[in-house]
Amino acid sequence: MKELKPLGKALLIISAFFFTQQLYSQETLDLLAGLDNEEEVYPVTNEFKTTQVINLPSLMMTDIGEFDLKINHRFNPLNSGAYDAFGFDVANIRIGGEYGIAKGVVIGLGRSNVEKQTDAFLECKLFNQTTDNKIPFTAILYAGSAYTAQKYTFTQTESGRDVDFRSRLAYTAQLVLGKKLSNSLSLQVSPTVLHYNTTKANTSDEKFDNTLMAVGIAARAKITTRTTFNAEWIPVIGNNGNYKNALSIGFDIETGGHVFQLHLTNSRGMSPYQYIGRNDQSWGDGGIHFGFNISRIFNIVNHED
Amino acid sequence: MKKIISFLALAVFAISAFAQVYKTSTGTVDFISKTPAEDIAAKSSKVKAAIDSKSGAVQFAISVNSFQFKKSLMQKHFQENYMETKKYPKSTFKGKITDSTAVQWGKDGSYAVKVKGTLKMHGVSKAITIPGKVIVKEGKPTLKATFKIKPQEYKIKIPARTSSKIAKAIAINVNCTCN
Repeated sequence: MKELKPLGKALLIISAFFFTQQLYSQETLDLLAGLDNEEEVYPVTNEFKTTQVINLPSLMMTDIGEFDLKINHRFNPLNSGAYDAFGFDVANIRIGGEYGIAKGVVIGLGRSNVEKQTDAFLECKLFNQTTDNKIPFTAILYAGSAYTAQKYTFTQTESGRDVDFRSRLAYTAQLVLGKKLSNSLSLQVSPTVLHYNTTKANTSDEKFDNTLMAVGIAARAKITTRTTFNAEWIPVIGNNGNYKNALSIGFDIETGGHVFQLHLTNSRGMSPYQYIGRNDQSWGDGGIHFGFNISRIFNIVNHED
Repeated sequence: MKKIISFLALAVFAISAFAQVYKTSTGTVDFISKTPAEDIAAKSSKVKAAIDSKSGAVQFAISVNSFQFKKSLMQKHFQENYMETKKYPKSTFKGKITDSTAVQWGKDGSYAVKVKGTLKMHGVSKAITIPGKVIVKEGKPTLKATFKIKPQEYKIKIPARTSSKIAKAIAINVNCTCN
């Protein structure tokens, strides 16, 4: 050891120094080192302020034990003219509710004065985006049906169309796929299949598809912690006559237990059967409805500890 | 030189022999906000805690998402609007027992201590002194503390319309049994 060169000595001292440094840091600076390795994983939530983007079901679902009262309202289009106060005089409403019957399972029911329609749905969460991004997006299955009670303006003999109970039913199935990209930005794609037992072709040579496909595209960006800007567009694939694709923009305002959504949209109806496939107004000629949704959550069953 | 090496080895050995770090990753922290309007409470059972018996250094870390509320809407608002967990996923405390001789680690008993350190939550770090207890039982220390913090000191914004429902000072309860 006596032959140890100065360099070797220096190395020994330096390595001893680092060794003790490491010990020191373990004791006082990073006591949790061993524990922190196991990263905790949580489901990503709060992608939207409520369970609707504007018309479309959003990535959010009503939680188990919660009842969400939905009051949706659309005035008539702005191009209605001065006599109807530019749409203000006419109220198109849907009142409904959603309830979380189990973890990741929601049932909903609504009634609208548009076509006197009652709609019901079931929503199931397939999987949820996680904080560690191992599951990179959320997927929900939405399935529903609607019964349109409005009297037909024609008879079976003159139109050749069915007017029985079955003809009044429509069905939909939708996948809600999306991701919270950042604290403020969420994106969603909603591939949809719609089936109408009756199409609304006006003349016998018009032939509309009973089954339509659509791909809803939606996004929200936060303006402040409790206000967001939302947009959605739902292009329909299939022969759907003169019906227009729905385009809607709006704002969410959250006030504790309520979420107020204010928007402009070219769709009068508030069920998927109406706003996706039976939309006769267009932005181009002023067929724009001002509308709002009110969502109010009631806690029915508390979570257990 | 041999002497130096053996001294170093001895020193290292001595440090590691005396320094015992007790840890847990299943400690609990709960809080309650009491107002005449309503009581809001939540609890996390995934608190990471560690204490070094030699230096008296203590450390805590909580994933803010781990707090469970009875009402899920409250939990969502807590995460999204108040604590902003996407931006600030963790709250931490790093500190030291002011009088490290206050606790007799080898002897069962309840020892009152003061812990001085830095509480970091919602991205804000603040120096804080917390009175607490170290309860030694069968060689295992349990860290207990009850104290209050003010949300506004951590830049947690409470809008005027909900200010009557959220207490000015929130009571925090710590209970971590380390191994």
